[in-house]
Amino acid sequence: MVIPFLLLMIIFPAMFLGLILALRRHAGSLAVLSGLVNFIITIYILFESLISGSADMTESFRYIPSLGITLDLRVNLFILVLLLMSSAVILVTALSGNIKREREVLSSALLVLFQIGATGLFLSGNLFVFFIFWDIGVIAPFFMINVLGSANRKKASYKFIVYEIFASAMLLLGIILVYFYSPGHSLNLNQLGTLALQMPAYIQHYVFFLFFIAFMINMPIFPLHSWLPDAHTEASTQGSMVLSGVLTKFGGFGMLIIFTSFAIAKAYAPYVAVISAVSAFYAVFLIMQQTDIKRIVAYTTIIEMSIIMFSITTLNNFGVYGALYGMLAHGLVVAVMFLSAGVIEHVFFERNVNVLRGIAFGEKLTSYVFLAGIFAVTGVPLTASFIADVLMFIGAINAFGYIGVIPLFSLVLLGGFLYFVINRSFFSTKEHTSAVDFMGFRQKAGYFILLALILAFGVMPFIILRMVNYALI
Amino acid sequence: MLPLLFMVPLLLGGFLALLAGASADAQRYAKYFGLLGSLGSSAMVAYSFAYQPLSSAYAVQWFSFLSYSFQLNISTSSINMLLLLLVSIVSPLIFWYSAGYMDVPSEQSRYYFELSIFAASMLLFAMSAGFLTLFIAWEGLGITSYLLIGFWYQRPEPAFAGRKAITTIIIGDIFLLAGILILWSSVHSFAFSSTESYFASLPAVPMVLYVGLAFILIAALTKSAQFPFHEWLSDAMEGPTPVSAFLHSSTMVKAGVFMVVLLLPLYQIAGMLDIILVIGIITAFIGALNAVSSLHLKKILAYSTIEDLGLMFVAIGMNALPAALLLFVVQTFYKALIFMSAGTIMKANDDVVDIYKTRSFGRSRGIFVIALVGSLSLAGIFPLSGFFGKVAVDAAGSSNMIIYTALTVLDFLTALYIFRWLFIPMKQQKANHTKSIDANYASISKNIIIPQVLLVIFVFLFSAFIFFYPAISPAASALPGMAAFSFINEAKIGYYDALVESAAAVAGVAAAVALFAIKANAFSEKSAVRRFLSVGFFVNAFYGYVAAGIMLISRSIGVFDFELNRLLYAGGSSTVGIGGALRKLENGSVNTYIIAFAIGLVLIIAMLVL
Repeated sequence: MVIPFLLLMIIFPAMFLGLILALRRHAGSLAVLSGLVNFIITIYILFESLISGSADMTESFRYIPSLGITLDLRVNLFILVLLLMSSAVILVTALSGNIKREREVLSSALLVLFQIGATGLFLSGNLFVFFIFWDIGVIAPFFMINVLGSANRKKASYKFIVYEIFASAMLLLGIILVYFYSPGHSLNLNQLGTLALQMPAYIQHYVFFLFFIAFMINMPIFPLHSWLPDAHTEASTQGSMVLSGVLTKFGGFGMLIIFTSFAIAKAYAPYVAVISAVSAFYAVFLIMQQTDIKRIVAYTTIIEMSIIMFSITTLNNFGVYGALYGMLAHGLVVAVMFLSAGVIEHVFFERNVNVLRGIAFGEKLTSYVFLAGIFAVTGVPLTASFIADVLMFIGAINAFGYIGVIPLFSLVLLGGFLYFVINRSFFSTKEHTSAVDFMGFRQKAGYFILLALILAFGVMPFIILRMVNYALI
Repeated sequence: MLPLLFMVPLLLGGFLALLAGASADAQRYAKYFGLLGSLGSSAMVAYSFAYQPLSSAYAVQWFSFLSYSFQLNISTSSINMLLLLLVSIVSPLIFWYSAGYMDVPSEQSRYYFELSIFAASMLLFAMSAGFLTLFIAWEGLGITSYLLIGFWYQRPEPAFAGRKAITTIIIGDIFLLAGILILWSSVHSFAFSSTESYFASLPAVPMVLYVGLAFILIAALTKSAQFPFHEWLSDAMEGPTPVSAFLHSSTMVKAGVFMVVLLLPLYQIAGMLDIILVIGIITAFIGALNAVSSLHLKKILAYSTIEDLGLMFVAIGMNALPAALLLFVVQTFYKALIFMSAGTIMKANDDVVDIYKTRSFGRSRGIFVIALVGSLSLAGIFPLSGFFGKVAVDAAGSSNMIIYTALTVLDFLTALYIFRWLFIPMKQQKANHTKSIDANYASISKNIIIPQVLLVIFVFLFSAFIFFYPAISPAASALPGMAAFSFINEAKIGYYDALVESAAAVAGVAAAVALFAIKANAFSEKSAVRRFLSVGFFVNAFYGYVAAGIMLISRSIGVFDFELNRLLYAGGSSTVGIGGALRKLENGSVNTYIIAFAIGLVLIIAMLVL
């Protein structure tokens, strides 16, 4: 009998979710275990695909036969890379995100619920499954903000859910259009490109536009970005880590799918490229107005995701796989930055960088981790982001000529501002910041895992890129 | 890839130093790890110099994407060997000097870790033969220099200086990355040699080359502190003095010049040498004039470095590579030496840096002699090595009368400011005399003095080496690495140029004697000339305007974003408002329903009839 690994990646977290809710004890450890199981399965799939030379796998189960809908799961290279990132981020989130160790049952249950959503979304083989897991993945963070968040959580969570429900509605509308206009009512994601070509031309444009709006909100790209800073700032540390590490990748993943499978994407790409370049600079100018450390990290997400979007619009292999690598790098980097921001909030009971001074005196390790995060954000070599930057901007130059490097310069302003923050609040004279608590071993382990992965994918990019070569040559 | 092993001892030493930080007790071993690592690296370079033939082809694939191979290219060709040699001569001396200088026990492991990584990055930079290797080393230098300049982040000034440095450096980093990727997109290779042959084979110079090289030049200007990016370097004096000595002699600031030297064939193809020349001249004058006016013991030397780097760019701009290289080499020794002696003076004066408030030697005059040797070399007085570098650059500029005049004026200014630096504290000897300073001088560690003495010996040896090089080069060619110095033969040093340069330098020294040694208060704080020069030609003000402009854009976008948010909220609340209005229709009153039903019925019938 063939072991259905992909299905197990959804069933195991579901079991752990049941266990957490039933036992109501050891919730934190169960969540870690759930993350670990998926991480191990992902590593196993990675090894298998490195050996066999292909990452493609599919599994199919009966689901709603009367409508011709099956439970399709699949893995390809995009999915494998995103799974690798999301399972690592979720594992670390479970391990170290809940710094205060309070409301463990609820936070662990929500995290595992989100894990089901994220894993299912990446694994989904048809649009129906995609939509179900999309909504699961949106609901869990809503409660992470609404219940577990900080002072302004109610407003932020409603803003988040309004945006995301709007995105869901667009997505659902698009899926319904695909269902009715595709031959044989197929929703298969693997064949989305050929399905799209068989639809009437104006329907293709509608579907593309609806999907694009949905993913654009989720990524997020200016002008539909304003849910993100509030949501990321007010969420619990765990919430911020998965929101920005994994949830924004839902949109990125969707963009990868629609831009690589719809033939009409080529016509829209230049406009989208301009929007995303504007988005990157817009966010980089906005970040300079921020004083909340979590908000600052949240805005780096908009900048990085805009650059990733820009890179997807190049529609060449460098750009698309660069964007994929960028999502891998960004997920890990932003998780470690949110974790360190959470530790700072926990230790100093303060998030305002105008008040925080001399963090390095109270939390030396966290300061250096945050600094390492800044290095990674600005694309220093030997971090994963550098490989991503190289691939993305080679793609951009190939597609748009040398003006394609323009969005890269947003990193000058970003780096300048982040070093300003580091200089004023982290490595500075100690004035009136005093530590009221300390962080535990679990946070150190979390730093270590994430930084090790960032370094590993920066030093050994061939792990992933080798499979790209397998897939394309 | 054997040359990559040169870095291993340094990296090993650095990480051992870091591990030593785990316990407060083990920290005192950090300096030994650092020193041993640096000695190990230097020994390996020396071995390579003596026994390995110079070769230029090492390439290893880092990763491949599609059919493109991303390679790390390194080489030990003559020019790479030259910088490798300089770094490995200076770096053990710096580590040794640091052992005496850095006496805060709690910060040892951090310091030696950062310094080791910095030195290792510089070794990698020195042997790079491709853009990818170069960029890795470049970023390594940038990051570690930021950490080292802001080493004493507990005080506000070093933290600010570190930020200023990294802000300038990150501009260069991104420009360099952009330039590299633009060139790669045409050449599909990172190796310098294939980039050169690709563009040399084209019938016309494509736009891509101009754009790529301009971006790379901007990066070189930021790293080598050239106008308009030079201000970070003088602020970087807040870093520990051994770091300054290292930064200004063989590493970091040399990186920009060295990169342009490596890419010189490309700049020749693009015909961009004139730009380099103009920037070099402007920078050299800014550096020299600021050095004349500054009162800061180390900043004078920093501005002097800016001037030297400007002169190197002038030589490159005049297409005289040997002259640039000669100045490149001699500057390493005299700058390391003079910074070390400045560090000694600072140490003895309890970190007072105003030249009017320091005392440049104690009972023993040895320290003064060391500073004198450094100053003479820097001023370009025969027969010290600085003379050869200065004359070679002058000779390179002799084809253009304006440039030649400018260079001669610079020679005069150089001699003037460096002897001002030497004479003013000497003249204040009595005024600033306290027992404690005498005691400080007496207790200066041997670890601080010995590296300086070694460097003095190096300055003399190297002067003799240059002077007798034509005679000894046949015999020396038994050492394969000696080919790295063959540029000395190509540098044109004419008698006429030597005479003019010496005259200018001696005039500068004489002026310094007249102004500062005899009449101590000339040109002091209240002078209007000094005040004009000390504003730094408004470069800092210009930075301020740029920052203010960015913040203005940022604020207006902030306002725009707020309004955008309100607009979206308005959309949301109008939906709620419509819902509220519609809700009134569904009030449960049967009368209303019947009336509505009747109106509807009438309307439908009317529509059907009409």
